[in-house]
Amino acid sequence: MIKVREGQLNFAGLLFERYKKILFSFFYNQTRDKNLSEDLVQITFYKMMKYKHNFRDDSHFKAWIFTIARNAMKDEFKKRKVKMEDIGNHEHKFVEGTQADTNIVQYERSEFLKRALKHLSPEKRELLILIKLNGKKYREVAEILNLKESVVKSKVFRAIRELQNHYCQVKESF
Amino acid sequence: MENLKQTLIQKFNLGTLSEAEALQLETFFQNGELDLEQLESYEIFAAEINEDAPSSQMDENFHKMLAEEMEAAKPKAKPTFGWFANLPLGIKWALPALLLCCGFLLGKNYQMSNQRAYAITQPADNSERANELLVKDLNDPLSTHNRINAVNQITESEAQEEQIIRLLFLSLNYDKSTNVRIAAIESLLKYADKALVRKGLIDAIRSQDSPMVLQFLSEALTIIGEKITLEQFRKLYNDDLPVEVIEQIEPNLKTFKI
Repeated sequence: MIKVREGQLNFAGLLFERYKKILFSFFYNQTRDKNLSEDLVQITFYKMMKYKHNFRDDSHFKAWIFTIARNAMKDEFKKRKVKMEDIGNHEHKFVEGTQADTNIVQYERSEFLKRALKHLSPEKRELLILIKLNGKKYREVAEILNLKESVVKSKVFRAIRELQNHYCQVKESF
Repeated sequence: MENLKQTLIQKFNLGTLSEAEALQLETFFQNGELDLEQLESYEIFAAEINEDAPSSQMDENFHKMLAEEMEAAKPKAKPTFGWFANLPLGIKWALPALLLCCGFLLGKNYQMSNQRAYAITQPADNSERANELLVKDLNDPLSTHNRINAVNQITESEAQEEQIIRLLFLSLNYDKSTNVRIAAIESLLKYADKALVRKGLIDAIRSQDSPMVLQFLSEALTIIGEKITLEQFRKLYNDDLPVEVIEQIEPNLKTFKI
């Protein structure tokens, strides 16, 4: 990123190759809209180049690009006047039909989880997605969210506990 | 200790953990003695997270944008004056002074002979040139950013209103970029008091196949107070609009109560 900041823009291609997938997953798992997620990745990299001079030598690139990505998503939804809370109400089509036919248990679990997730706030959903996509590296997620690692761990545990409670309630109601 | 941890995990998975037990389990987690994967809901959640790769279209769009940025960042070639460095010092000083004097005399002469005509033509020339540049940017096939900027700036140009509106509708109905079309809608809202623009925005529905543009159009119609029912909106769709796009757009249209 330092090279990009110094004007060697061709290095932005390398950063794109390295981060496009995780950013796309980050957006897609929250919006469930492939086109919108691809647009948001594009916007994120456009902003990365536009604000390249704001990148400091001591910054961690992943945390920096995720900050841009999170803001891009908030801006996009503000622009489209869609509440962040509504994002979670998009259908979470986790399991494809064919898989569902062959694995009814997995299908049920997905359905229960989908319903449980609707009760979770957008912030908690985002946190869990970040943890999963970053391979449970709490320190990296802490940097992205600008929080202490211990605070992130605490929030993750509580979010998972809340999800588990909703999951159990949904399961019991069936 | 291991038994206690297992009991707590079991209770967690059944949703029967008390507050005190939850704190105990959280401590295990904080200390790295408990992995998230041991908790049922996280395990299911993690398994369901979609990590598919994005389409190759996204790569193409990015590389196109990068090429544009690199082109824009290219330093302009500067004229070199190597021959000037080899001249004797006296001539080095005399030459610029001579050029300055010549320039001054020529300028004075030109100003006196053309003062009147210059005063009349200059503002028109400037605004015409600015308009020409804007139109050129609006038609720039390579740079979406140029076209978006042109669409945003054209409302402030000194061109005639009818001409601006016509250009904006051309962008809204024919530009290949969704973002340019959205920018055109935003610019057209400034002329929403004109019946022609209101009708044009309704007619533009037929020319769209992007859910985002359709959503922005529906929002724009709501803002300008054009009351169209969902049924009417459906009739205005492009006949070739894929069912998936309609399915994607309609829940959002309801949000705007059209």
